[in-house]
Amino acid sequence: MVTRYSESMRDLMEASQATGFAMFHCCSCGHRFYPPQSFCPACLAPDVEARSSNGDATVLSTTLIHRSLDRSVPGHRPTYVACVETAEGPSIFAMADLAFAVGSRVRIRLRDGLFHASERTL
Amino acid sequence: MLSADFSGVALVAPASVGYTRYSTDGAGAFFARCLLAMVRQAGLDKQEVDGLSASSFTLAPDPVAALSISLGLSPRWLEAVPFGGASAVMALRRAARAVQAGDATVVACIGADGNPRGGFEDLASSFSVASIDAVAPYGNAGPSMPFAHVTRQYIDATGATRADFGRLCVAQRFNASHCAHALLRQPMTLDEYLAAPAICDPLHKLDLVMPCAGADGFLVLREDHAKSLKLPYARVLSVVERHNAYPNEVPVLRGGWELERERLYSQAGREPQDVDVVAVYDDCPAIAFMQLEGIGFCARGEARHLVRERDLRFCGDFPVNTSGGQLGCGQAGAAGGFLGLVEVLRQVTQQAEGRQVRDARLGAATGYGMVVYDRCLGTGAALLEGMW
Repeated sequence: MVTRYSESMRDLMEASQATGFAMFHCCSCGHRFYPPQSFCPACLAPDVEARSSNGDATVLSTTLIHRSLDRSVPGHRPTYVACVETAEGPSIFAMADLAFAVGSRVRIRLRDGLFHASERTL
Repeated sequence: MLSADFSGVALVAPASVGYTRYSTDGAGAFFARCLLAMVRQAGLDKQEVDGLSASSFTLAPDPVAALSISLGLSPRWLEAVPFGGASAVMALRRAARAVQAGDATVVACIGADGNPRGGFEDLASSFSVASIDAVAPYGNAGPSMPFAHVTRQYIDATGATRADFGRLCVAQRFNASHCAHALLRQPMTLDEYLAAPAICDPLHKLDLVMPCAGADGFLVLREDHAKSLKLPYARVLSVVERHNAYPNEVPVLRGGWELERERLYSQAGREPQDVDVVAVYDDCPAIAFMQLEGIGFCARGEARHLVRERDLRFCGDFPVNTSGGQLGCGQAGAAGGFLGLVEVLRQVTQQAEGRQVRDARLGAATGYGMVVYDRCLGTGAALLEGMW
């Protein structure tokens, strides 16, 4: 599928280049939020920034997608998608290597324009 | 604090029209069929409809204003209610106030959508900025992906099983088999439900609604007006809505119904056990379970017991989604947000033909709409009392 990421999403991906992950922070009240937007949903201040982090997260659930809506991709293969709670707080969807059990500690990394959840090696 | 009461307001003319799997007709054609069915049922001239509340996903590029041209109306009151699965409850709440205030005399509340081939995929892939940024790129499975997570989190938290979800789906399919406009009228067994292929695990094919075209609607007017027209009607006892309840709370195990329940029942002067017939938004079963819990038919996380112990068929002791719901009728876009309330109106006015719930007088309809990111944001509920 063709992605038409918003400017804020592109900012988040740019900030993720350094360490693999980033999260939006409000410079006024410290609130952290996702999905990205250009102002703080808590205090409505416009001074927000994407700050890089190590991408630590905990799995809330995993789904295995057997059928995509995208008919331009022939032979869609089953795809794992995890819902994770990031160390920063907000939950995000990320591609997953496998069916992570609830509570699994994972690391989120930006790869080919998508966030991926992988096992965290201690 | 209670809002002002809804006294003096009536609903009449429940209509469900045009249900078909695919249609190249635009939404306007479905609005027209629904309006025509309602004014005929009510014995009104079209020009007596001076208010219009429109819910649709596929009207674009036309704005709602264009409906005044295409339907040949000059309304004093015109409103877009773009809340998907919560549309009917919210349309009713607004229309009732317009009628009480005299801003409109007869308001037609309609949810209508066409469904060209590929239409659902296009809509689902670009539903919101958040869905473009943070949902669709992850497997592009439409709302099924977030709902698969909600369902998994609900299962993990409550111990509900697929068979529990299946009990609701099987009962609804039975109800659909008695509903002329339902597109999926073939009864099914629990084994058939359990054998359906996985789409977004743990969601399987028979947990998910089939996109279709169609329209649902009702008319809102003064109670004395309904009486003078000698129409079967329902009074509005209470209507509540809540948006973005429990923001950021994960796992997602509840919606705004829990916050509004006290207001819903105290304004009506009724209790959950007084309700004769229920409609909940059913895309997908875990969401339906949360609504049954949220408006007080059981404790949070306990709907699995409710579906095991009660008979959810129209002829059972706890009738739920008696037209078959969206799982039985199909999901005609925003009409899917109307179908439940329209069926409850039919039931409490004794117009449900071959699936009439015996002596149904008090009905509850809930709404759940707009999966902007990881859950639906809009929730609502209405209590209607049939006058017969």
